[in-house]
Amino acid sequence: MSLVELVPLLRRIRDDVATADERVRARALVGQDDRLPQDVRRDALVDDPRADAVGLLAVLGEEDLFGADLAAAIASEAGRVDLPLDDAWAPMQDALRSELAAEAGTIDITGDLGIFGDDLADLGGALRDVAREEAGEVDLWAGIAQAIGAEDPEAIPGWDGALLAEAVRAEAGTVDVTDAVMAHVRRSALVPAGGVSTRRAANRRFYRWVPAAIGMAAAAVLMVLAGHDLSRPGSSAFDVRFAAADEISINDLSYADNTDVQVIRGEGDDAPLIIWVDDNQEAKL
Amino acid sequence: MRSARSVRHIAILLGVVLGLFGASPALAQVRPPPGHRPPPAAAHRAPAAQKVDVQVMVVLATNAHNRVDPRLKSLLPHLQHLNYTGYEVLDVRNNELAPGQETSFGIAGGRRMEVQLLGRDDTQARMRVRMYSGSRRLLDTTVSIHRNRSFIVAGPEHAGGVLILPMTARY
Repeated sequence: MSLVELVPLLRRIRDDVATADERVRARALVGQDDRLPQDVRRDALVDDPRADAVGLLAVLGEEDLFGADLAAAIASEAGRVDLPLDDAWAPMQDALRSELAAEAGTIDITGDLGIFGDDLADLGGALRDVAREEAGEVDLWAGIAQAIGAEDPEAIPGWDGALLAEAVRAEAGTVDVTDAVMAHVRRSALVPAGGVSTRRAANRRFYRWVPAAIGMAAAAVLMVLAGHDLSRPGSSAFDVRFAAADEISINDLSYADNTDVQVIRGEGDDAPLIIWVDDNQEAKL
Repeated sequence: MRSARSVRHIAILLGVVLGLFGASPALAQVRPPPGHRPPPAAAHRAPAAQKVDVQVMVVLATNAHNRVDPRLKSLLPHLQHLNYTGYEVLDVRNNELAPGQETSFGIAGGRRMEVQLLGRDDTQARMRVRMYSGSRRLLDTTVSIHRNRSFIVAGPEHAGGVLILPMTARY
């Protein structure tokens, strides 16, 4: 293969200025180059000629694989940074070098890829600084754990869901959720009952319901006489009286994964208690 | 004493009249005369006095229109903070349940609701309410609520809006 002939052709392909004949000629030259692996000789410059040209130029030692454009882009993003030598990147450098060498087969490319060497360690330091700058202030659990005195951030002694629930119940005693303006109840939480009211029922005394009964009976008779059908469904307004805060309690409450449930009470004595079930949490995440 | 007895007779007669006309179950709470003992009954054959009429409305709150079902007049002030423009009644379920009995019915969006009457006393009823989506149980709650009072289960999305289910225990 004539390297003198191939390299200019690859550069023209890379720059997207090569003619069809030049691309055919470049493929022919690559296909005859016995220094290249068989699959590279067969497949190069077919599907993505420009990308292949960049790779071949790097393999042939004529160009940096990453090129000056990438370096310029990183420098632009990072701004002015110091590039101290960071030994921690050395193992990665070695690993990349050996992997590339293995991929390249019999071709010794390591000496030709200018990006490798101490430059990679410099690049690592720069990337680390950029990442740190981009991250800004990040709350890290390890820092929190240390701040609260936890010896092992991954294992907090005594952190047990059942124990927590028991402790909450013990602390809360008898809870009537209707007293809350809004209670956000966690999944599978058990809300102790407010207890069944022992207040005297409103209808215990005979005379309490007689006037109402007389009135409603009279109304019923009048409506029947007037031709109304009491059993006809719903053309009149619904008679709904919402339970006041001391007239309802939630004894227990559990709900499914990916479902959020809130117990809500609006303002005012006649505001309804609403058990709000959002069963579409998964889709919202 | 005499006047009290007369009033009691009137009340019993009214109870019969109201029973014939199917008036409010709340008025069926005529206390039996002294000495009367209701027969012991299994849960499925509980005497009427032990039953509770559980009403569940299925209301769709939507912004697709601004129509409001006129039957929802008394509820509307309590729903407006949800910021929907239209409210339509999709279904109304009335089930008379004895203690231990339960009812199951489909609501919109492939969901299903089960309501079980756990018990009642003079003042309040205890109900277990479960909601399913397919075989998945979304909600399982037990509520103690005063007789003839209502509360709301709401939130499941349907047809671009949300379902609101006012529930009432009447007896």
